[in-house]
Amino acid sequence: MSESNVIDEHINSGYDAGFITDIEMQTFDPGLDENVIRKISAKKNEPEFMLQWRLDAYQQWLKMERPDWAHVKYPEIDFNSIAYYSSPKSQEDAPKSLDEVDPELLRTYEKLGIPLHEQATLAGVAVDMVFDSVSIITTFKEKLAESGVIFCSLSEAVIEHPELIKKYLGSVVPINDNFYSALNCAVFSDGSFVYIPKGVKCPMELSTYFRINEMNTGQFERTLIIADEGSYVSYLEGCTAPSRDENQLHGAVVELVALKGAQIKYSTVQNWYPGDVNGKGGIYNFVTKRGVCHTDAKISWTQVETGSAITWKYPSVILLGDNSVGEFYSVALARNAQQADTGTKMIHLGRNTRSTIISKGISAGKGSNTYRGLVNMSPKAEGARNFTQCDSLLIGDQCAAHTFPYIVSKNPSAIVEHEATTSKVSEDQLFLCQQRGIDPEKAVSMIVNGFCKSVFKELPMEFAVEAGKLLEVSLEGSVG
Amino acid sequence: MNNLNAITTDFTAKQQPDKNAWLQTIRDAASERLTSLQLPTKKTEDWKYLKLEKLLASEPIDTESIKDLEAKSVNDINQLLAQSLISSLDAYRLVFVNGVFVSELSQHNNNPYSVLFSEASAAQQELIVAHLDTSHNYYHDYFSSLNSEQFEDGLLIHIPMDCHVEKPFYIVNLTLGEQPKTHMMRVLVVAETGSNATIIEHEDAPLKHTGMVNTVIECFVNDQAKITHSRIQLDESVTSICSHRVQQGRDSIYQQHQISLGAKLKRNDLTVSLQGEHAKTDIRASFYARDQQTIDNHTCLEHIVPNCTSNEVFRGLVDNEANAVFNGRIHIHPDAQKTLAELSNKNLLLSDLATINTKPELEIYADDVRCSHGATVGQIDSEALFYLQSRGISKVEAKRLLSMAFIAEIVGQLTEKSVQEFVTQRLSSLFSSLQYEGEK
Repeated sequence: MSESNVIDEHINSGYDAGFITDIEMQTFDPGLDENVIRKISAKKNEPEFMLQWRLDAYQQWLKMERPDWAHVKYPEIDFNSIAYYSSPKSQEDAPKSLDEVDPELLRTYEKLGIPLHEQATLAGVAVDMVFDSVSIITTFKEKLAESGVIFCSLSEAVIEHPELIKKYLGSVVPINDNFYSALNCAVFSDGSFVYIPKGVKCPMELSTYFRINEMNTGQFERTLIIADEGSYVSYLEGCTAPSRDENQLHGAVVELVALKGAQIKYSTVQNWYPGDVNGKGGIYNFVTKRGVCHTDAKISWTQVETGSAITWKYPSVILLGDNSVGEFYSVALARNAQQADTGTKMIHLGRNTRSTIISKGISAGKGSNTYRGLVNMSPKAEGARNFTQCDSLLIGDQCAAHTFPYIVSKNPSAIVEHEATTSKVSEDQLFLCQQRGIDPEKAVSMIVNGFCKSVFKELPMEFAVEAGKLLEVSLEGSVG
Repeated sequence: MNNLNAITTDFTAKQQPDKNAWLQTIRDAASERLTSLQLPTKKTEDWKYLKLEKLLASEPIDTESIKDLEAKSVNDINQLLAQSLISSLDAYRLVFVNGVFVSELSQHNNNPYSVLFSEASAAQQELIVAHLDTSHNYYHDYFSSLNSEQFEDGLLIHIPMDCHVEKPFYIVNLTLGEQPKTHMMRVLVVAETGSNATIIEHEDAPLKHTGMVNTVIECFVNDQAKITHSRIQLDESVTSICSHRVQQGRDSIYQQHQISLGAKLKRNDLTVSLQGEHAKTDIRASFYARDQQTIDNHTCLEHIVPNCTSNEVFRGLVDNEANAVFNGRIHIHPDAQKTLAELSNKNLLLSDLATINTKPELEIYADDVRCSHGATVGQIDSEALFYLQSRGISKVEAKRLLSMAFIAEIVGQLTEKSVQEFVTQRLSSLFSSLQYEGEK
């Protein structure tokens, strides 16, 4: 089997989640002005403070410029051609239980491999689903409520827990943080809200599933997780979208607050539609994710990024309290004409803060993969420690891999280490596997899996399996 | 006219515009570029860590020292300056003061290889025009274009084909006088196929004046040629901006050893462009920034063709309130398969108020390559410190020894013994005069 054939085959391997769900939708006309924002806010029966917050964000957004520093190329986005709100029609009288959810919708999730009833029970996962713009249903709500955990859609939280929203929404990612987060603040339609009370270890993994279905819509969801003192939560996030020729915009904001001694583990498997071989269509994934760690707290980001035409995403941790810990584990795959510019920021403010960054980038086909990171040791970060390792694997001679790590140190007792390597799948490794009777395709898959292992082991079990499979499908038949 | 000017008059007299008219096209092109270029700002990515206000601030001029100097005779000044040179070095010595050639201080008898632009023959003029400003510059071109527009004279070193020059070229640029006058220094090195030469570049400010220097050095290392280039930057009081560009042909070797012992503000831009297969680049540098100094190092290795090798090591020691920047970029172009590129940057931060910004970058467009980079920021190893203390060496002394050793590794790699000795001596006198914060 010739090398080029194999690479072609891998490049052409399909996108399984690319189907379209045909249910009646209610979508706003494309365009963005104050009226649209007022309409979104009214639709969700939001209190006045929320509307003002949105309008403030909109005004600031108008003054901001689209950032162009990322190593990605894409045509100018016309923000007036996007519809900013879309929901299944039956949302009008929202479902009270799973039985009332539109069966077509449930089938969609089943196709995606998330049968709500069985699998959720088996896995002990509570799922919040966001379909286009609105949160459809949150399972296991009652069970969670028993231990005092609040897990609901953000729109519900705005109404039921306004004091928490007022205190924390926008506290980690300020409304004027960046162009896309400001846009999100103005038009965000829904998202998930989690509050773990003091000392509670969340009894099950929480999970959100995002899906963009409608054409020409943008999805702007927000996630806010607050882990009160000494609590623990593990949160999973998955994403898919239909295959369409147009580019669609996804501009999410995720805020994590880990109070004293709390731990948050946030895992993402991102598989938005990546566009076809020539880069036609696909999701523009412009996401702002940031967490703040108080004393002794820990935030851990794990991400597997296989989808999206463009990924622009830097899950970050502000290590505010002494002895806090930040972790970032990432596997990013860019194939076909995908472009990924992703990485993390670790801002060390407290004493004895520690951070670990493990980033694995895989570029194949004409994909371009960039690691961009910042490690900042502030003058007060006495005894702080960082270790960064970012490795890139190149498959095919038209791909590209870049590394832009920024290291700033203002404290002599802080120690920062950064290592990066770039290489292709080693012929020695391949030869060794083949010599042991493993066919080249399998061997590559094994090598790539081994390459990513240090990240996969951080994922919750069910997700680790899914991520491994996803990568296998994506890289099917690639021999370096 | 005072004597300070007098030492350079000799040269200025030659500086008739018609005399260097053959350089006009190069100057015009630079002026043209300057119309579209702006002074870099904080938003210019490659300049964002440099305190530009420091660069542009007008310093109080130390009139005493200048008057003192002006009162001296030309001979006295020359004698004073001669003390700062590495006298024991057997080399073609070419001394410049403020970018102007001073023959009294130089020793270049029987040197057929180098010539001032102003004295170039027709063939040499042709060579200069063919090469000047043609080398690739990755960095913001403002200051180097300013140099091209305004340099008064330059130095050409031309090594003929297959010629092995035994004696090194020892180029010295001494800075006298105070800001705001900017001095332009321009050097062009053309090493023809199969040639071999050593260049030692020495920058100094013997009277601790705060002048401003804008240097542009271009090196063309043709096929199978080898250039060993040592850069000794000892101009502690000066504001200096240097654009250094190297272009390498097939099987060529370019080696650089750089030692910067601080400057009020020092900006080193280096672009090496590997344009012939099997070319090798080896860069080893260390810098020491202290007090309120700023050292801003930017390097870019452009791997354009396959099978080239590059290795870069940068060590930085940052103390007091100094600010140091290292930005090392490796760019592998789409066809540059089988490239081996390595970069390592190690930094020691010695004080609470010092800052280091480091950014090793990889930009890779070819798959069959092996590239790696590493960067560390830390402090003096406490175990090493303890070891020395347990042998009866005071903590302050131990700290001094270890800091010096950190820099000295690169000194040991300098090719000329006398240069090694000279730098070691400067280094130890510098370190022994330093006041450490003591026990902490």
